[in-house]
Amino acid sequence: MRPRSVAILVLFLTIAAPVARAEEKMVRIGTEAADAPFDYVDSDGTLKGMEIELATALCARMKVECVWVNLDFDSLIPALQADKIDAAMAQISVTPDRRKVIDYTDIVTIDPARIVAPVGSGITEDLETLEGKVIGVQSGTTHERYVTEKLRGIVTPKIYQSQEEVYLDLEAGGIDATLGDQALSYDWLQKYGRPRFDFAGKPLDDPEIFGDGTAIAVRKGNDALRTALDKALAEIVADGTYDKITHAYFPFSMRPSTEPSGAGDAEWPIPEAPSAQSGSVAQYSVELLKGLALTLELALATLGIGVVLGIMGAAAKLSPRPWLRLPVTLVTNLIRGVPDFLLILIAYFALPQILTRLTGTEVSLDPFAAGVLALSVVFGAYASEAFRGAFLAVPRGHMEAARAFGMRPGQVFFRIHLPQAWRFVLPSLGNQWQSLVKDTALVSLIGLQELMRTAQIGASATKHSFAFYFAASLLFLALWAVSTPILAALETRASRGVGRRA
Amino acid sequence: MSPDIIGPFVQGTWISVQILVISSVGGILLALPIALARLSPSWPLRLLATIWSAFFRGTPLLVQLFLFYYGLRQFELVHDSALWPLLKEAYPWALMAFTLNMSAYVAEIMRTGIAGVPRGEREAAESLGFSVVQTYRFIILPRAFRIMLPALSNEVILQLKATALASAVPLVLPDLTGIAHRMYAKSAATEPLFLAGAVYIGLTFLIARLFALAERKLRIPAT
Repeated sequence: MRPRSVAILVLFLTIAAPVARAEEKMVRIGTEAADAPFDYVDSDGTLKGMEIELATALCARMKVECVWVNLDFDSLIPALQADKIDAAMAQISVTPDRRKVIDYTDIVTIDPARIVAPVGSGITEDLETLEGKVIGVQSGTTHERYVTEKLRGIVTPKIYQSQEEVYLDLEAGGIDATLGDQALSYDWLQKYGRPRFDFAGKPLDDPEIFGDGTAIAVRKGNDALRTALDKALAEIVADGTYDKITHAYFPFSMRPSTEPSGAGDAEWPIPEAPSAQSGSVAQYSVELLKGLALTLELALATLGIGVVLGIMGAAAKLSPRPWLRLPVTLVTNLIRGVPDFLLILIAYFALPQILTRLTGTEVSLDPFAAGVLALSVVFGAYASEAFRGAFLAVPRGHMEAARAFGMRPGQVFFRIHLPQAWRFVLPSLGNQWQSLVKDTALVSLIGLQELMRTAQIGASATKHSFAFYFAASLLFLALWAVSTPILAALETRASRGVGRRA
Repeated sequence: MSPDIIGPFVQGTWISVQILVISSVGGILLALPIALARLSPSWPLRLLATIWSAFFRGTPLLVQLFLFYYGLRQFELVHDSALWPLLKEAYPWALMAFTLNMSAYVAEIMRTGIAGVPRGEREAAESLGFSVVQTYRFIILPRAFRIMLPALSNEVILQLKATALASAVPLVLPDLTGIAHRMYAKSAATEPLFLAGAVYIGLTFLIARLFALAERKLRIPAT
């Protein structure tokens, strides 16, 4: 039930109102596969998880073919609206505000809130035991509301961006306890937290705050799909498929039923450990290397286009013609100011539709192309400033001398000015390259599984967050180690003819 | 726009600017010895500076934040120190990560700036009897600073946007992005996100403007 923000960048996306699609047999379901045990990528690269299994069962009932689209949580609602997916299933909690922009199926899962604390802490849901404690919660959740409203003045809330980080700080001793989803906490306790940590007290019951559950989101007005999903959901609940799937993951019920929750607990055994439980970084090594390769491809493609854009931008900025200089200066400053993730979302969701409208022919951009496009524009904007400085650093006398020899402007630029400017621009470009390699992580927003994303998926699936972040940083360092001598060699080459004794 | 949005926004912008200014100034000051170490004839110094540069430039800032806050903070040395009441919170760790990260990037720019000073000027200073310190203080550093200004403005703007990561650790008073995220998560209204975007653009223009002014002021007509 993550809130995770940013989702509705709809203002941009409503420019491109969804085109009505003909009735189709194929349903595209968006998810975020970094949220074990609900949705995640297993170490063999396949999608797994409770929700994946539920959706597969639903599709079988509806007799349609379902394809998964793996996106970031924040992109799911924009993707629905831009008609890139037909449904979204990622533990999306039902809120009145979201209902304004999307439609929901019936409630699919209910996951009560429960406190987790170190064993022997004496903490329970009883208010007296909570007096003066520091409680970690995830930002934007019902748990945050409960702690800041109902427990105001009793506990000190500490607010994190994801539940995984709350667990990390619980382990580091930064907080006394956490209030979170029972199912998510159960998964963490099973894979990592026990025996040092355990549930403290019973699930909390406060319908006013914890009233809603999660459901599948569909595009507003797509009633055909919504009713078909509702019907299929009722069927798999009725025939027991639903319980069979959820109880393979949790010993408690996830079902939104009128019966008191936990009534069926005794009937269901503690589930077998899912395959990722014993998972380690080593198991994910193939996936991590695939992520590394994608990171490198993205960065190299961006570098090539970005450098060309940067030189053109710098040339325009240094131009004596104001109609060339001023707009380019303005645009590069604007691009430098806009948060990169906005540009990536615009390139993927809005740009193809705008182009389609302008040209009259169907234009589509795959995530890789959209990602490279957005990253190149950003890279070019920054590089133009570095190139400008470098062009200015070349002594003017050199160009004057070249002109005096009768060289044409193009010759002066390519033979005299640019080669010397390289010497000044390379270190700055080197810096930018090193940043770029890491910035490719942003394209995970539109579903590309690069290195950082793969690490997050592994962290979520195995709960060994630290090991995965450490492994990712080692791989990034390896890229650094490979780039550095290459950059140094380029710098040496660019500085030939300049005295060595600096 | 209602005042209950404006208040937190001003607060969040203030935190972002605080992190930006402290980490930039701290980073630039720290960068000088690192840049000099990288250019030093002594290999242990060069090696240390290279490792510094490798770690902070070679790994994602997010990972560094995590390693500092969730990793280093766990050590008993930190727990038992007199500074613990301060170090218990996330803010000083975020500042530390941002400052050290910045120092590595600026050191790289500074190194180039220093190397970009024409050799003749250094030789002229030497032949006038300047000591090494004097040569750096009066000749090389002022010139290098001018050379590195455009690249430095890039770096400061990048740092501004990097501060958006600050709320990855639990700040008691969140930064601009953290505030916008929280408001969005509560209401599903998109205005806070776009307002935050607009504030970042505004700050970027302000920084670009300040650096353009500095560039004009420091322009050396000779070249």
